Amino acid sequence: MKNGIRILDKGIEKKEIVNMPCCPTASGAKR
Amino acid sequence: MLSTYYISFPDSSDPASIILFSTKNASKVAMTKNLLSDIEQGMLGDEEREQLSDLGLLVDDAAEEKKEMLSYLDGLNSIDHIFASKVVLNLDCNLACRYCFEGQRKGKYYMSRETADSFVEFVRAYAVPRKQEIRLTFYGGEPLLSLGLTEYISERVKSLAGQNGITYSGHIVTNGTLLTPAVAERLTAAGVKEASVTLDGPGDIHDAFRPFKGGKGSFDIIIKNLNEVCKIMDVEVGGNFMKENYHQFPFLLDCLADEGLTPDKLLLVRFDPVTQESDDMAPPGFHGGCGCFNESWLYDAGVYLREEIMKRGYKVHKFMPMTCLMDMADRSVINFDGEIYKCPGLIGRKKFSVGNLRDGVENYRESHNLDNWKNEGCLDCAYLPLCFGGCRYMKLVRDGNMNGVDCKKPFFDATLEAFVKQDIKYGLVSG
Repeated sequence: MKNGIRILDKGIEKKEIVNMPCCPTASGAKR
Repeated sequence: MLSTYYISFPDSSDPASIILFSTKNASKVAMTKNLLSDIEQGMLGDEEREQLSDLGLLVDDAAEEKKEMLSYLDGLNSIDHIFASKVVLNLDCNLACRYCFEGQRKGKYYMSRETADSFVEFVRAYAVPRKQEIRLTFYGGEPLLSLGLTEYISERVKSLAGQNGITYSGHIVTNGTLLTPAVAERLTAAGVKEASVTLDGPGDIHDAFRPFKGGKGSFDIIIKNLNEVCKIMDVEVGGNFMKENYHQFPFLLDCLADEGLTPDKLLLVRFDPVTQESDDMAPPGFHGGCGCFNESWLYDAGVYLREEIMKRGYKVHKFMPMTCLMDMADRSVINFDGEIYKCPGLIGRKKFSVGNLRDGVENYRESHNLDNWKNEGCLDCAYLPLCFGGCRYMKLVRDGNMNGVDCKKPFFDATLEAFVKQDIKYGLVSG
C-alpha cells in the first residue's frame, strides 16, 4: 500500500463499455 | 472531493482499510481509513489526489460531475464505432418453452428473402459510411429453422464489411437442438463464429421447462451437440432460473464438467432470471417470472449463482456499467417483417416500433422515455452509471407503461458489494 492507497483495479475506459454486449435479454437470454 | 458515483465497504483483509468501487468505470481501490478521513477534510496530497482522480474516484466539483453525467450516454454514442443488429429471422420454434417471452407472438412467421435484401441495404446505408465494426446476432424464434437465410445475410454483410475495411462478426442465439457439427461448420464458413445456447439447470429441470413441441426433453441432444460444436465455434451457455429452481443450477455446472464441457471449452456462462411477460404476450398458462429486480430472493440467487459459476472456473462478465439497446443509437432489433425495435422484448408491439428497413429509424426519445433518469434523485444516486433508469421493458410489462424509472437501488444495495468482492476474489480486474 503506497500513500495509503492500494489499486486493485484500474477500471475501464468508455470504449470498453461500448464494446460490451448489452443487457441479458438483448445478448441472448430468451426468457 | 469524492465522486458521487462510488460505493465503499470494509476490506476484509485489513481492518484498517476500506475498499472503494467506482460505478462509473469499475475501478477498485483499497485505502486506509485515515486517508479517507484526509479526503473528507480536504487534506489530500497532490500525488494521492492525482491518482484517485485518474481512477474516477475524486472530482473537483460534484455539481459539475452531475452535469457531465447528463451527457454521459451521448458521449458513449459519440465514440461508438459499432453497428449492431439482432436479426429476428423467424418467430417459429421446435421447442415449447414454458416461459418464452415471445409466447403468443410466435407462429409460422419467417423473414422473406426480400426483407433480408432490404436489411443488407440498410447495413450498407447506415453502417458502412460511419462504422468500423458490424456485429450481427441471429435471433428467433429459433434462427436455425432459417439456416439458409442466416448464411445468406451473414455472407453478404461479411462481404460488404470486407470490401470496406470494416470488421464483421456474426453470433447466433439458438436453443442448440439443431446446432450439429455440420451446421456449425456452415455457420462459421458464413462468418457466424459464436453461439449462445440455453440450458435451464440440470436435465430434469431443463426438460420440464424447455421440451420439444411433442413433449420430449431436449437436454441430452443439446449436450451432445455442444460437445462437438465447441471444437468448431465459440459457445456461451446461458440459463434462465426461477425462484423455485435456482438452487439446482450448480448441478448443471457439475454436469457440464462431467460431460467434458469444462471451463476452457466455453466462452462464458451466465444465469439470468426468467422475466415476467404480460398475459396477452406470455405463453398460455404461464404467469411466473420476475417482474422486478427488487425481489429479495433474487438478491440471493444472483450472488449465489455467480459464485457457483466462478468457483468452478467458468468465465463470467466482470461487473461494470452495461448499456441498454435503447440508449445506443446504432443498436437495434430487426423483426422478421422489417420493423425495427429497440429491445427484443418489444418486438410485435407495434406501438414501440421505431421504424423500418425502408424508412430507417425515427426519433424515439419521447416514446421510449429515454430521459427518465434525468432528475435529481437519479443524478444523486451512486448506482446511476449501472442503471440509467433501469429496464424500460420490465417497467412496461409490470406497470403497462414506460413512464418513470425502473429503480434498481434496492437490488444494488443488497448485491453490489458482493459482486465486487467476487471480482476481486477471482481476479476479474483491469490493469
